[in-house]
Amino acid sequence: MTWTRQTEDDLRSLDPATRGQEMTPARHDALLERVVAEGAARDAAPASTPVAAPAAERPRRSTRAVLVTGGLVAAATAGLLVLPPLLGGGDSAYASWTAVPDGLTAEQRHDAAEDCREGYRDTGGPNDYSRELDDATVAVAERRGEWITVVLSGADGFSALCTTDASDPFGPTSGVVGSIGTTTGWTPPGPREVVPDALGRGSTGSGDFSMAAGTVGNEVTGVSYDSTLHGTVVATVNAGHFALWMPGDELDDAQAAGVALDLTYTDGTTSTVVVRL
Amino acid sequence: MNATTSAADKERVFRAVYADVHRDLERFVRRRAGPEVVEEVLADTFLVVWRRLDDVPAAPEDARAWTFAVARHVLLTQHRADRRRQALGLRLTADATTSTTSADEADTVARRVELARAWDRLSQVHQESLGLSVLEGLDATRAAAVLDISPVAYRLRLSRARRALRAHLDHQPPSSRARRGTPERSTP
Repeated sequence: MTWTRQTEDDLRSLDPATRGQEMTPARHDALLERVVAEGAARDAAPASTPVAAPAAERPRRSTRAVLVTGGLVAAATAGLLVLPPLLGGGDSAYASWTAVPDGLTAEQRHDAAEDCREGYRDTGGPNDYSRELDDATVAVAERRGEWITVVLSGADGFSALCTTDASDPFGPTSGVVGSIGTTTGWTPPGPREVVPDALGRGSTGSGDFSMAAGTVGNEVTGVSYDSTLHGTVVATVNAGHFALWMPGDELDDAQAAGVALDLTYTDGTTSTVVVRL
Repeated sequence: MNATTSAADKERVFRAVYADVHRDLERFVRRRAGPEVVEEVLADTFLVVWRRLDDVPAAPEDARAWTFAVARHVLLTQHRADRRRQALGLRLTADATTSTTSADEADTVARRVELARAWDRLSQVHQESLGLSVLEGLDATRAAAVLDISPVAYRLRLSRARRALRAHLDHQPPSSRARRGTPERSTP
């Protein structure tokens, strides 16, 4: 079954608000006068019991503030948008995370890519990459415990990265981080090169995490990072892209200081290179 | 909205907001609460609107979504005994009849019955995500504001909700699948 306008029309036909008895205009008028009278009375007696409006009173989490304080650092790109990490993931403290990624089933891969596309689509403004997302293909699709990462790749250095907590009970999309954009002046990496386009520290409700992702040349078959906390963290390398991440903040200053990545090439040789944004 | 400068101004502005949103807000509440509490939820919601009138967005569509968010908090607070509850599910009507008498009516009814059953199997989070889009007609930015999450997270959630509903429709129990074929259908 596909999602169609008819599906939405059918849902609307089952809307309980369009069945049964709505409040009459007279009842609405009465309600309006009641609220006005009660509101005015409370205004006149500010020391009285506060109006019960509990949840609406709580401090609102500012998406903008989260973006500034917790966003993953990404390469200097044209119109880059860094997805704000959201609080409240289901995998507390990344307990399920693994240093070596697993693959996804075809269905998981399809679903994760679809979610990533839909998440970034139709944002409007300079960060609207709907057209690029339509043309992008899945370069990286991996799983580390409950956490699924996909990288969608397009022309001219376009990429979109989404990491989500599949165990999150609220969607499951509360724990989600990522980035999207097209690198300014992007040129394909040389055969043995690695070029990061997202690098640094971010955070979710499960705590800080560090991530490195980008493009690799066609002779690079493996990328790993020697973590002080987790040992060897192995990246997924596929279709000219790589991605790895780990709990903790050890890549906090990687955009300036760089990060040492261990590369393996098609001829079996290895090297360690320091890359930075 | 500018700061209200007097009681008379405040009342005038509040009445305008009420006039703009009360019908849609009533429907929002009716989709998520029993009929016996609709009026009280509306009263609590509009009292918050009165007290926070300076916070109501100026654009009508934004103001509408803002009042939905307030009503949602009021409804969630009514369920505070269940502290884990962070979403408001919606129950669709069980009446799937149509107003037409075309040859396809039986098929339409069967399709909607299946849809209602699939809807009931959705999580409250998915029902809430779909409801804001399909029934309230909110765009992602405004729906996200109602849920206090980012638009990207809302789109992700909506994508998963649609997929979950599709999956439930594709895996209806055999009894309901059999029923779908029961109505006699004329063919040209």
